[in-house]
Formats: sequence, C-alpha cells, structure tokens
Amino acid sequence: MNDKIVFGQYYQSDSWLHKLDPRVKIISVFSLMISLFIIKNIYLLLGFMFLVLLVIASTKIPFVKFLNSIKMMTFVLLVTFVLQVIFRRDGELLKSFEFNLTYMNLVIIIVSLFVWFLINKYIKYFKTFVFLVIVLALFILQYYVSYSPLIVKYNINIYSNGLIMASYIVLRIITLLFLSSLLTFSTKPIELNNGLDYLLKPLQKLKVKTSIFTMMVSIALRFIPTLILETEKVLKAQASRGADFKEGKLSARVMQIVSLIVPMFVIAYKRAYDLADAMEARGYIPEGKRTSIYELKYKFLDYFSYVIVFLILAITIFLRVKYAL
Amino acid sequence: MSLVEVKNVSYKYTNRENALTDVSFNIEKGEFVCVLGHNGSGKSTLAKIIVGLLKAKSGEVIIDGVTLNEDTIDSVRQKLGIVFQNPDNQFVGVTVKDDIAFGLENRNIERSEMLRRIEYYSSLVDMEDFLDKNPENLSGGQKQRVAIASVLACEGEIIVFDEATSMLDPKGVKEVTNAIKKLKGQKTVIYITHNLDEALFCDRVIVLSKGVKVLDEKVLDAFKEKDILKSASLDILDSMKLIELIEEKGLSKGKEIEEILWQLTYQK
Repeated sequence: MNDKIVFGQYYQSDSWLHKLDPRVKIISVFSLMISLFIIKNIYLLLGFMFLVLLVIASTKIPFVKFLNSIKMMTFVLLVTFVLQVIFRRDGELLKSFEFNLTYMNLVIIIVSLFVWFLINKYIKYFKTFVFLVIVLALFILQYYVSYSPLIVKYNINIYSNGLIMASYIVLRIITLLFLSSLLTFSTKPIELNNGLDYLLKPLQKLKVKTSIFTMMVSIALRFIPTLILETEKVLKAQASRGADFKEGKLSARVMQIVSLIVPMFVIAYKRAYDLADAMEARGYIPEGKRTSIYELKYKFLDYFSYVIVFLILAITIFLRVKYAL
Repeated sequence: MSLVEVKNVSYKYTNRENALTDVSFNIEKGEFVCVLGHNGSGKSTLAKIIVGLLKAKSGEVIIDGVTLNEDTIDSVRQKLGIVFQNPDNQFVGVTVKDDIAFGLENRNIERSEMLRRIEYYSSLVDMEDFLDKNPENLSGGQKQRVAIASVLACEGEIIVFDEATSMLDPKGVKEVTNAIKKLKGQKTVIYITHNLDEALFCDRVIVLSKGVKVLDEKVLDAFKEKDILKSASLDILDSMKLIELIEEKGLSKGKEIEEILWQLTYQK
C-alpha cells in the first residue's frame, strides 16, 4: 500500500509533548509567541531560546527536522541579517570596509550573475549556498581588486548595535519557527482540529458556526492525500498522452497545466457531490448538535504546562514593563 | 404492512428522459432483495429515492409505516443506511475509527456506546485491526467494509447497497460480499447491481429496464426469464448460456457439448 503520503509534519513518538492535550499545545504556543515578541533584551531572548531547545531535546524529535524547518527560511534570514548589519548605524563602529566598483569589476559582476541565471537550474543541491558564495566572492573582488578606471567608491560600516539587532531579529525568527514546529511535529492535524473545535466552542454562543468550520477542516484533511494521489494519476495519464509539464515555452506549459486542472476540478466536484450524499445519508445535519468520539480531558501535566507557560508570559510582561527588557 | 413500500414512484432529471416510471414494490422485513439493471436503468436513482437523498416527482416511499418527506426524513433516516459505489468518496473520517463514529456522532450517541459499537461492528467486518489507519492505506475492499461497518453501527433495519462492489478487484468483491452475507436474517437488504452472479445470494430479484420494473420474482424463477433479462441488456449467467446453447442446437452427445464449451471459453 502507499505509505508515502503523510500529510502534515507529524513525527510519531511517545514523548510527554505528544501526550499533551492539543488545546494546551495551541494555547501555549500562542502565549509563548506573545512572550517572544515582548522580550526586547537579547540575553533574555537567548534564555528563552535555551528553554525552547530544552523542550525540543526532551521530545525525542530529531533536531534535524527542526533545522529543516528553518532551511526554507535561510535566504530570508540571511537577507534580514545582512540588511540589518549594513543599514543600522548606531553603537560603536566596529569595522569599515571600502569597496571599489570599477568598470572591470562591473563587467565581472554582470557576467557572473548572467552565468548564474544560465546554470542555476542544473544545480541540484545547496543552491542558495552556491549563490551566496558567488555574491560573497564578488564583494571580495571589489575589496581587493581596483584595477581599471573607478566608477564609484563606497563603504560598508559595521556597528555594534547593528550586529546585536541583526542577531536579535534572526534569533527571534528562528525561535518562532522552532515553537510552531514543536506544535506541528507533536500534534496530528486532526488532533489540532479537535483542539480548535473545543477552543472555538464558546464562539458558538455568538452564533459563529465553528462546528461547520472544523468539519470543513477535517474533511479537507481527509481528502488532501486522496486528491494528491488522484493528481499523480492524472499527471501520469496526461504524460502518457504526451503532455510535458516541465519543458517547453511558457504558453505551452500553461496549456499543459490546463490539461491537469480541468480533470482535477471535475474529479473534486464529483467527489464533493458523492461525499455530500454520503454525509447526508449518515444523518449529518449542518449546525445540528453532535457528540464527539474525541474526548479531551485535562490531566495533571496539562494544568502544569498551563501554569509554566502563563508564568513565562507573566515574567516577560513584568520585565518589559518594569525594566524595559 | 411491509417494511419498505415503494408506490408508483417516478423520477425525472431535468432535461432528460424519465429515470424511473411508475415503479412499485414492497419489501418485507428480513428480505434480501436484489435490484438488477443495466447502466441507466434507474437503479441508483431508486436507491437515492429510498434513502431520501432524492425526492420522487410522483408516488411515495413508505418506510415502516412512515411516508418519506422533508419533515419525516430525519427520523426515518435512523432506520436506513446506504453503501455507495465509490469506496473513497464515502469515507468521511480521517481514520477508520472516525469514519465509523461519524454516523454515531450525528445521532448524538454517548461516547462509551460509540466505542462499544465501533469495536463490535469493526470486528463483524474483520476490520478491528485497522481502526487507526487512514483511508489511503486501505484497499478498496477494506474501505467498503468500513462503509458497511459505519452503516451497521447506526443500527438501522434497512441497508441499501448501491453497486457496492463494482469498483473493487475480485478479492475485494469477495471480502465485501462475505461481509454482506453475514447480514442474512438480521437486516433487510436492498442490493443494487448489474451483475447477475451477485444476485444469487439474494432472496428476490427486481429487474429494472429504462426506469420500468420488468420483473419481480424469487431468485431462481427470475433466472429462468431469459428473454426479460436479455431485453434489460443484462448478461445472463454462463451456465444459463450453456443450457441455452444445448437446447438451441438440440445436442445430446457429450462430444458436441465439449466443443460448445471450448467455443464459449474462446469467446471470452
């Protein structure tokens, strides 16, 4: 059978975090995120990050998985870091670099960027890394080589606060990613949905149809893997009829994608129709009262986690208000 | 009074010919009735009308003395269950357990009772080891057995199977029909199919052709009505084809029967 498709990022384990009530996890992650944004001091942030790392270590989820979740953001993080370092101009000046943009350097820069755009689709691994190395090399070139007439001379100054602010922002984003990954790695999507179902219940008093919303989410969770399988089938079927989704002109590719989208729409529509029949036949009444097979009950550990998390929130608020940390 | 009474039911989809014309029959409690029909004979429409998913344009359906209409449908549905053709499209839950629980949740059944029924009915269809599995990790036959368990768990008296095996591989068909056979004597079953072989385990056969009821007989008597079956574009049983050929050619010798058998095999 096909075990390949696992929706979401859930990592099977039996740690205490996995056993925690989903409601606790959702609320905790939210309030910890608030704490994270309240913290202004980098040492406090480091302490907070250390706590998060402790939690990660205690869950038996491989740390590589967390690193992977940052991986997608490396480029954004680096750009943020570099921009902060370059443009922040307070604190003491640590070092000043002088760059010479000469005609020859400009030609080299343009040629190497052009080459990059030509070859970048053939690079399979470490694409971002290779790009960064090239960019770095170009700056080193401008630093050392000043041969041929000069166009402009410019300085990049690095200030102490710039460095601190840049690492503060980057660390904050990384901790944020870790926190949200902790939630998604340790909780199945359906559990999250059940937790939400419980948490949103008070809204029903305000006539918000939360039960319909969570039912929709659970059906979406149910059908996403099925539709992915179906898409693969249609892709193969169209490919066997000569459709090529990867190469050719843009207009041709758009046409090929239409050949994928149209059948997928028809399939999804037919499924939705059948599903509606099946649900109605089994007595589903939208907005009707339903019991639930999932029973969420707070245990000692859940209360304990609430206490810890709210304590952290209280402390960060206190430190911010009192000492502006 | 019969458990299911279908009285002069007609149905028409917009811009199409009549899907059902003046169909009437009664089904007694505990009966296994097979509704046979070719593509477009109106058999699926009939199934949807019986379970109240479609409203007949004329005529009425009476379940256990109550006429189906907008007001009664929610209460009558407690007695009805339907298993559809496509195993994937009727799987509502994210896991097998969720799916069986879905109908129970809708009926506001207590959690402890839900768990009891899930355990009991999943073992009835031999799916007790798969309760935490996702549908994409199940075969078609397994999904259909889950659908059966879901319907059984609601403990309705009447179960409609709308071509429940037509999308399965031979192994799946066998698993599912075995599960259905277990219901004999306990539930009233309306088994809709185009396959004569599957009619064999039913008590009674109703044949639909172009929306009209053309035959309503005990199962073995029904198979003798070859002309009617053929006119309803149904493929008659191989054994019946053989008998027909023997009669047609007036054969009496073993050698010649053997030759006919070979011919039949080659035709396949």
